[in-house]
Amino acid sequence: MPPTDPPGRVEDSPVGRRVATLFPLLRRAELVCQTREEAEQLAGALTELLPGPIYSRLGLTELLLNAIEHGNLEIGGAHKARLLREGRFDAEIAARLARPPYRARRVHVSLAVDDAAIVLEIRDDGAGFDWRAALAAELTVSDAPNGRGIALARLTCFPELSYRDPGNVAIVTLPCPR
Amino acid sequence: MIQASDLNGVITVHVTGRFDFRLIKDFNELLKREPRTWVVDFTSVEYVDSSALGMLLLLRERVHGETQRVQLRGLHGQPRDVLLMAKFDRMFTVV
Repeated sequence: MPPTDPPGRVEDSPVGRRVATLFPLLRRAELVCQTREEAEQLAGALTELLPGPIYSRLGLTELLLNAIEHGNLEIGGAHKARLLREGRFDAEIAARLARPPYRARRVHVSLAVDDAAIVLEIRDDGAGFDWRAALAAELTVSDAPNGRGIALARLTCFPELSYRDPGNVAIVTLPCPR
Repeated sequence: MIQASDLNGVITVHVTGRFDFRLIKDFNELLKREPRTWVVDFTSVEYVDSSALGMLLLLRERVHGETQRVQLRGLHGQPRDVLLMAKFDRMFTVV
């Protein structure tokens, strides 16, 4: 069975207790991931630091998966929908991760903490996208099997989500819980 | 983890723990079946991501969008919040 999230406060989980001890001393962290599995691990660990861990985990995971799938691996939204419907999405991800130019690309995550805010930046090695349209999109009744990640991140946990042009850097600003 | 039981034309899908992108392959296997009705039991689901929403919508496509043929049961906590936010109560039967 996969590991489960802590039910509430960071201090309630064993990992959270250790991380919480460190948090007052933390100023900067840099992390790098390439695969979706690494992204999931990264999000699980890093969100122990953030308010509302289980919702932050969703938001950070969505941003990381977008950076990998759409940014680094250049699988567009319509293409992803077709691959999902044909049951070929996982195979396409694996194939692209193994071949150039995709295999050299990474997602870089930086965390900066001061007395006022936690700022997370998620940067991919892709060409960017129309992030203004994506941020304006609401969750509507829709048959599409994908395309909800950014809206979920924004609505569940990251109201101050933004991007830097050309769209390959997502920036999340959170009030600091110190 | 994902398990399915089949009874009188109803397939009940039990997901345990995190219902996320890691289950796409197993879920696709399930979609090869053709029951009259699907029930997805969320009683033991603690977390969903947008991939889980996508999997449910592929299930809905298999029954030609007939809302009453896909039932979502036992929703609570984060999965409930996320599915309602995505308006899934209007696309599925939530019981």
